[in-house]
Amino acid sequence: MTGLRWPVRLLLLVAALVVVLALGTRGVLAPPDFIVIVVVGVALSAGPGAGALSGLLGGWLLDLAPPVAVPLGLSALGYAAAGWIAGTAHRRAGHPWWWPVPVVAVAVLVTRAAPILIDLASARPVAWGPLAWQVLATATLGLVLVGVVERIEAELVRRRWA
Amino acid sequence: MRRRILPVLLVLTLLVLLADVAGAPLGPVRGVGDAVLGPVERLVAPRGDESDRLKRDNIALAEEVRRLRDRQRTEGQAAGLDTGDLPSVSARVVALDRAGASGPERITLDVGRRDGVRADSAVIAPGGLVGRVVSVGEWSADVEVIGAGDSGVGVRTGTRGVIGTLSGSDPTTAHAADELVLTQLTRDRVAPGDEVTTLGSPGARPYPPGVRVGTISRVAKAPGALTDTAVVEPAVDLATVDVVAVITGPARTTKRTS
Repeated sequence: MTGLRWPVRLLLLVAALVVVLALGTRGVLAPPDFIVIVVVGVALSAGPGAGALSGLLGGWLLDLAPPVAVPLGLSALGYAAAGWIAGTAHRRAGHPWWWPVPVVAVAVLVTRAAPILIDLASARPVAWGPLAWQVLATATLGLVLVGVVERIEAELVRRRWA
Repeated sequence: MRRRILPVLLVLTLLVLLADVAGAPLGPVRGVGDAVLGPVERLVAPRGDESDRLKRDNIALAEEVRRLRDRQRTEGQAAGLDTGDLPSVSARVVALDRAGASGPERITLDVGRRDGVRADSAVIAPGGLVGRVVSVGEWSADVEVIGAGDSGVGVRTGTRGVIGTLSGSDPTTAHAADELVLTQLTRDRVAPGDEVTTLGSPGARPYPPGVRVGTISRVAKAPGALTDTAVVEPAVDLATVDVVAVITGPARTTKRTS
């Protein structure tokens, strides 16, 4: 864990969190999950381990941002699982241009799995509409933004800053 | 070393999760979020303008009307009963909960302990009740919105003031994620369109009486049930809630008369 790779990843996660917070405070109840996009970008560039660790960090940022999540740590574990699963889609020889769309969609669903199961188990109605919108919007944005994260990762390696 | 970081962090996270579920005091951990990320949220929140000032005035006037109506209603029933005066502080919503799959269960306000906010204070928007303060930091406060979790709110319904319990879900009643459910209603006493207001808590904490909560949209009459269940359209839309008032003052300033 040397060089600029992890500071840059943390910076990207914080930037993604700021965007999510800014959208949330402007009345967007289910904003596109920019943190998942960063996690998938890292996972597709560096594999399951880096994906899970960046997911864990991103999930902790979400958990700790007021209102602090209940229970604490649930988002962190969900995002770590999403990062790990996205990392299994990593291809050394590169991937087709559309590859981030299904990977991001699956990653978002993995992060939402625990809250959905908790709500279903407690007979609370799940807001399927906003969830579907969130998956669709995040996957669409992921088509462009995952590529940007991958370019940043590749540039760090090329300049030997990783 | 690098390979061990992920498992160690995962185990630590799992321990924190289990400790939180078990009810361990994790105040310092939560305080970190409030201290570090709270200022970021206030920074990215929309700036106040003239419409915010009008909203604050609107809340203050609505609260005054509610107090006077409540005093008028209770005077007839028990002359001399003390309702107390309930001072409040205005606040802005700076963050919405992102974890729940059924919509936001918590919101964060830009006022905290230094503004006189305490836990179990009611939070009121121009439209009606938002929820109650569940945790307070120095500069911010987390609010559990009505219908979140397993908590129920005692309410009165319609002009006759039929008493019931309001919650976020009921296993026997189908409703949308943004609707509330009113249970334990006396049969055939409520109808769609009836207004739902708070019953009031002992000492007006967390909820003072007479605060608007929502409107009944339909009544479900389960065959064989002794009570009615109604679906309630909340008075406050969490997607647009912005300026709110937090009831900060002591519930009762003079002792109760006998």
